[in-house]
Formats: sequence, C-alpha cells, structure tokens
Amino acid sequence: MITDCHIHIQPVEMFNPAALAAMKKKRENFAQIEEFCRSPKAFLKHMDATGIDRAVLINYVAPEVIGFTAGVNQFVADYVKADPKRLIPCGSLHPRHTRNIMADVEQLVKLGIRLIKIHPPHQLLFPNDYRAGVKELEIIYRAAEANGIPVMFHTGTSIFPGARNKYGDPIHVDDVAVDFPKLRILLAHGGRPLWMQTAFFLVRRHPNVYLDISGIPPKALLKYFPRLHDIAGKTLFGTDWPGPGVPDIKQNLDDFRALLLPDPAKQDILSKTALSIWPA
Amino acid sequence: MLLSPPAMELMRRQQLDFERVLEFTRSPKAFLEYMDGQGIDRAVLVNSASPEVTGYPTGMNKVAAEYAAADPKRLISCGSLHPRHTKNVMADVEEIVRLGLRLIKVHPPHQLFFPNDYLKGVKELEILYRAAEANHIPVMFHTGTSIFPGARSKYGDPMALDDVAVDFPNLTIIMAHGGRPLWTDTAFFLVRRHANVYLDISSIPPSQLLRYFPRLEEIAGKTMFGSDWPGPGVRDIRENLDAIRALPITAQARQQILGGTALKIWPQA
Repeated sequence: MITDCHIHIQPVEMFNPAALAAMKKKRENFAQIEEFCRSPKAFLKHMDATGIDRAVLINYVAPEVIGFTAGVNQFVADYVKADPKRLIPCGSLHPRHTRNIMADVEQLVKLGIRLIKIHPPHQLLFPNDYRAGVKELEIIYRAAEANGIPVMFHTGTSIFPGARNKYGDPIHVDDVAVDFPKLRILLAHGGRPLWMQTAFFLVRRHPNVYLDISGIPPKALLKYFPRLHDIAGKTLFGTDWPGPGVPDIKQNLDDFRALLLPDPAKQDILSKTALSIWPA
Repeated sequence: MLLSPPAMELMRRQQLDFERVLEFTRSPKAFLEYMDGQGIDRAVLVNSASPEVTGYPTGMNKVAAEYAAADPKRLISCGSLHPRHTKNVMADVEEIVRLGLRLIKVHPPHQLFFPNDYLKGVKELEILYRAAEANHIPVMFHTGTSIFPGARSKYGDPMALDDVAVDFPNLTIIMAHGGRPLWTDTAFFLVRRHANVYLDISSIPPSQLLRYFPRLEEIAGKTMFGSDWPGPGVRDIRENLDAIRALPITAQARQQILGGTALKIWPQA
C-alpha cells in the first residue's frame, strides 16, 4: 500500500492573489487542480491512475502569507468523508490566529484530523517559540502528543511571496523533540536545499522524528541524503503535488522507484513507515 | 586612514605594499592611475562606519563623496551610517542623499547587529532602508565571516537578509562575498528567490568561485565582479581579474559579471 504523505488538496478560493499567482506559474493544468480540490471523487480517480493508494491531504492556517484561515480544518474533514480509508486529513492551528486555543484544539480532535501541519516560513514563527512565550504552541503539541496525532513541520526554504526563510531551519525542531518525546514529528522536505544535514541528524538523534521526502526531486534525493537507507524505516514518501516544482505525482513515483536503493528500503519509504504512523 | 591599531596591524600584515595603499587613500589621482594599470574602468569605493571593530568612524560620508568627485565617471562613492552611532538618523540619511552617494554599505560583523534588527526595535535601520529604497540607492551587506579582531561572525549569515528583501521589495540589495565560506548556499538561494537581491563575488578566490557557486552561470545577470582589494587575502586586482577571465563559463556570463550587472545598477554617469 503506497501512501503519498504530502499532497495539497486545499480550498483554492482562500489563496490570496500573490500566492495564487505563484501556484499557477508554470502550471498549464491548473483547472484540473481546482477540480480535484472541489471533487474528492475526481481526485480518487486520479490517485488510481497514478498508483497512489492513500494520500495525506495537507492543510494549514497561514492568513498572512497564503490566505488560509482555520476554515481549512472543516474543509479537509468534509473532503475525506468521500473515502476515509484512502484520504487522510491534515489540519492546523495558528498561535496568533486563534481566539480560544483550547476550544480550537478540541475541535481538531473532534473533526478526526490525523496530522497537524505547522509551516514556520508561512506562519511566521519558530517551531520552538513556546520557549519564548508562545503558549499556544505548547498547547497544540501537548494535545497532539496526548491524542496520538503526529505533527508535520515544513522545513527548508519557501519561494512564496512573503515567506520568511529564517524560520525554515529544522534545528529549532530539536527543542520540540526534546520537550515532547512522545510526539511524532515529521520533517517535511528534509530541510531542502540548505539544511539537509540538520534534518538527517535530527532523524537519527530522536526516535520520534521522521523524514518526509516530498518537495525534493527524487533524482536529487540521494545527493541530498546519501545515507537515506540508514533512515529508511523512518522515512516517508510524499510528493508535495501540486506545489511549485512538482509537475506530476506519477513521474515522481517512477523516479523514486528507479533510485539505487535496496528494495526493503524502498518498501519502507513507500509504504511501511506511513502504515506505522497511520495504520490502514 | 582611520583604522584602529589591531585592524591596521592586520591590514599591514596581509598587504605587501601597505604604503602604496595609504598613498591611494590620500590621492584619487594616484589610484586612478593604478586602476588604468590594472585594467579596471570603474571602482566602487566601499566604506562602512564601524567604530567598535575597525575603528572607522562615522561622519566620513563627505570625505567619501569628495574622493569620488575627482572622477565621478570612474569612481562610485559609497557611504554608511551606524544605527548606534548616529545622533540624528534623519539628518545622516539626508546627508547621504544630498552628497549623491551611490551605495550604502552595512557591515553586520563589524557593526555588530543583524540586518533585520529593525524587526527588534532598531528603527534607525528601517529608516536607512526606506530612504535607500525611495532614493534608489542600493545597499551592500557584508555576508560571510570576518577575521578582523573583534568582528562577530554570527551577524554574517545572509539568511537575515531574507526579511530585508521581503520587507523592502524595491530596495536593491547586494550580498558582498556571497556568504563565504559558510553560507554560500544560502546566498545562492536568496539571489534566485528575490528579484532585488544581487551577488558580489569580491574576496572569493576566483579559483574557488565555481566550487562555491557551481551554478554561477544561472545568476550571472545578477552577479558582479569585485575584488575586495586591499582586504586580507587580496594582493592584486589584476591577478584577480585575469583569474575570472580564465574561468570556464560562457562569454555572456563573464560579460555580465564583469560589466553588465554593474552597469544596470550604476548606469554610466
């Protein structure tokens, strides 16, 4: 069973104009993406055609940079009802855009959200800002830990207008892994292109830190992570489709399969690690 | 020369003919002759006020403007101010504009602050950047380490410029030294990410340039030749220029780096 742990099915109408322009750039089939974001049925068919069994649908709250509000949580919870076995909902909260963090966290749990996304360069915060007084972050992590919901952090740069890349250095997740040892942490994009060594270190250092290879061109993957097979049991396949630079899920999957990696490592990355996090 | 004794000592140790350097700082005519001999048509004369580290004082912008006035077509003036050493930031900014300075240098490891410290209350920096943006004066930031006594290299990480480029989208930002030797990947990323960020390759040994920036050709249109002469490790401009000419890059990329990009930023007077 192949899981793509990082697909952006999101409410397209929430994009602010600059972010929407960045999404549409170099993408001829944007109408198809819009259709998939409206129709789970159409997207499930597309998954069949690309050979993806399960997809984690990434959503996050980023009013300043992208335009996403907390409304994304209801959106994704509704969307996955079409096939809860194959569609895994990812939601989010934003420490500066919540009126009642306890109520909002409860709402996430009630909606059945199975992953929480934190996007530091778009949410304009450091993952460890709870140590600098941002109590809301601690509450989110505690609730996630207590309810067995993993948290995914965007790590690495972002080229969206208004994104701030100082927040993308994964080293700040080291604090989170230390302070919340039972929280399962996914490092999206492995810190690419500036901080891959930091990401690799964190995956090896902390039992609770995992690597999501989405957004890295598969052909560059072993250049970025020459010892990927060492951490295959904690690595998840993902595409980041339809993000900038990811034209096609199928192509991505084929390129990954063609890599010089032992078969068991490929199995771990494509399937097993994700099954250990989100059982079938 | 207004350098502090330890800074002066370092300069003397690194430069074989330091007396000649001193003569050039007194006489634009002598320096213009030297430029002829070196094959340099125009030179940007970089200055930055850093009382704590190099001893270079504030209030030197007038001197910089007067020096360049000897031949404004060939000498491009650069000024500076220091947020903690200005009594009246508005007056100092106005002076930079009035003197017609064509570049402002900010040197974080010598001036001892982060380029984005305006986000933490250093209002003077924001005023400086706003004025530079409004008056189309580019700002050059030292990026990378510095070995001057007392320099603090944590301030040299170019990532702090990501904020500046986002907050001042019409400001022309030049990254001196491309973050060498620790942050060249970050510098490359920033040049590609932001339309308003440029690379100055000065003080990178030309023999190492393509190792630091293997994809230099992709950003040649935003890259500028510079030597950092007479800084530590740069003995001779001509040698530096010859080495750049010998690099295995396209003639077009070489032309952009040596001439085109700088002409875009400072059109011929």
